[in-house]
Amino acid sequence: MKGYLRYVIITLFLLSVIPAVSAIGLAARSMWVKMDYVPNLEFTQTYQIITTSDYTQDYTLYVTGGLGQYITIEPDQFKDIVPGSDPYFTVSLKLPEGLDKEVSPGIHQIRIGVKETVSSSGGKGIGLLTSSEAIIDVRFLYPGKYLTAKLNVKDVEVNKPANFKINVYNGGKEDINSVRAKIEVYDSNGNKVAMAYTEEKSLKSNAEDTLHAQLSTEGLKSGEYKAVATVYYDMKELKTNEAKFKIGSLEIWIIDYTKEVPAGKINPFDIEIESRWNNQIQNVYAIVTIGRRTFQTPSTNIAPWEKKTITGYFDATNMGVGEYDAEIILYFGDNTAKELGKVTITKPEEVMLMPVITPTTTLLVIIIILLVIADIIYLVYSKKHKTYKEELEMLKMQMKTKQRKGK
Amino acid sequence: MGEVSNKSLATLLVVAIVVSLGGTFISLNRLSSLGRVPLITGFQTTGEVNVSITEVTTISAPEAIIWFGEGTVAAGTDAELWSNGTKINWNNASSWMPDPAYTGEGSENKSEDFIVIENTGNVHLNISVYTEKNASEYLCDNLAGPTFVACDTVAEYKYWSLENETGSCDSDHVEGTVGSPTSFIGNGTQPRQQVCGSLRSAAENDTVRLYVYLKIPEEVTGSKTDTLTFNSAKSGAQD
Repeated sequence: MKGYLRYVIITLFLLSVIPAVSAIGLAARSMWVKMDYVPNLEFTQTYQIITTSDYTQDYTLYVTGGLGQYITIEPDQFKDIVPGSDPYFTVSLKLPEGLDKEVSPGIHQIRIGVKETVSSSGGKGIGLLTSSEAIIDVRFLYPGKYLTAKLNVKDVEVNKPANFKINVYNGGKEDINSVRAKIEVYDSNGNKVAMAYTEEKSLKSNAEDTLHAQLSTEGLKSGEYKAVATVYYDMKELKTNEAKFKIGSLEIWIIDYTKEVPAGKINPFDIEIESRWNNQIQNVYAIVTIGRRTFQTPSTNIAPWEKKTITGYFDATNMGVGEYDAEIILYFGDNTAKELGKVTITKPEEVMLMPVITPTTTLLVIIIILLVIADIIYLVYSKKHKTYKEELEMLKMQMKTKQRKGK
Repeated sequence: MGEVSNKSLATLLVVAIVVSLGGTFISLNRLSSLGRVPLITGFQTTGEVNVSITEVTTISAPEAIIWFGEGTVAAGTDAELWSNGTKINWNNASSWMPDPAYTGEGSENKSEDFIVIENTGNVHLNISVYTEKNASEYLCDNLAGPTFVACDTVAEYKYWSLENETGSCDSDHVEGTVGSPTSFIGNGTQPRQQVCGSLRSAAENDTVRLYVYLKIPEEVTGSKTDTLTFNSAKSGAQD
């Protein structure tokens, strides 16, 4: 079976041919209406369907959300709508008395949407549809006192005060007599380093306000901090969100760098850097331009307040001796540090060919010397031996000659 | 009719001047009592011009085609198709992209393919997407028994979105990444899956891209179709 399947061509018409631009929209005085529930609440708004596709089609209207049953739309059908006709419809919302006892408190969202019905033509796959929705939010108040709070703070410069704002909203049916907050600040290790307190206010039902607190940052190092507030209201309390902020700015200094390199080879190029930040900084690297040549160092991490040397490699082959403009740009996070200076390219280093004596070499030299000595001994010995033999032969010859004469 | 003497003309002129000045004085005096303005001055009033700007949430899809073409899964493997151009274990009989039979919008040769959604309205928009099909329903629809089980285990149908223009959509509000795409849930209209939390309306940065990733098991055959529905609604962030 699988062998057969291998040769079956799969055609993937994920999103195929669309004859024209698919598009739709809604227009109204407000596309996101927000209102508070009151008994017998009535709301009416007219919407316009923006039909920017260039072919005639039907449009579908729909309503979502738990309060959708209280919505009426007139007209509720749009058939054979020609391009550019941009028809209108009216949405009416009427909420009965006592509904707040039937539904849960909070925001109930109703969405009124319009959707295309023709997504493609040519019968080759199916394409893309667009829809657009208008939103109506109806807020139902909570029984009693119901507070929500959100803490905000902006980054500050070193030794400048940090201004905290807490947006508070009373979503309950009863007024709140007293609301105030305590703000605690933690460093990146989770140590509590500072506290601040807001003023005290009252807050009516369905009203919002802002609590303020100012914190002196003197003595706090540059870095990232987080703050969380405890809001106290009429014998109750709640914790806010964590708000992160920075004191000072993410900063790394370029302390020093290689000032001289010899021509004619690839040289290590050191850049000494120092973190001025209270947290580890990741992915730190430099792009260095010397003359018209550019190279990049590998990336590294740097610990809080750490001094570190990063090394790249600068190819000085085929570069003349002299002083060149240098630009070092250090990249870290979304920040950079820049250093402009000079780098001198000096004469190429002379290569000294020093004999290298190793045990193997020594052994070889000794063997060669011994062989030479042996050769010499052999030669001397063989020469002496040859002379002795010749003298002996001559004596034998003389003795033979004397014997013959005696006979 | 006898000639009018110069003396008579002078008298008439004086009378005319007196009547004119007197009338002007009386008129301004009455107007001042209405508008409480000083005597003998030009009269002006203030007005209001009320303009209500209609909010429009229109979107269009100028790039509405992702074409993976025709092909086969390499024997003994599962194919991976990324619409940003990568294909793995995929023997394509026709060109990679686009549809060779189609000559309209998006038919130009390109190394990647994606859908572009443009905010043509005047408010920032929350763009979401939904589809009727998940990976199994999309790719394994015509299989049954053990073959279906094998396909269902492997098949993947995912997407990721990306700013089409710098700053068009807050980077925190796009969905998925090329390294970690998000699975289509299927199930029709709910839940909506995010494409861009706040697509800006300014013409220079009002478009967002959507790419698709498919993992196709060896068992898959036939033509595969699906519809993606892109929805727009006013975003909560209008800054």
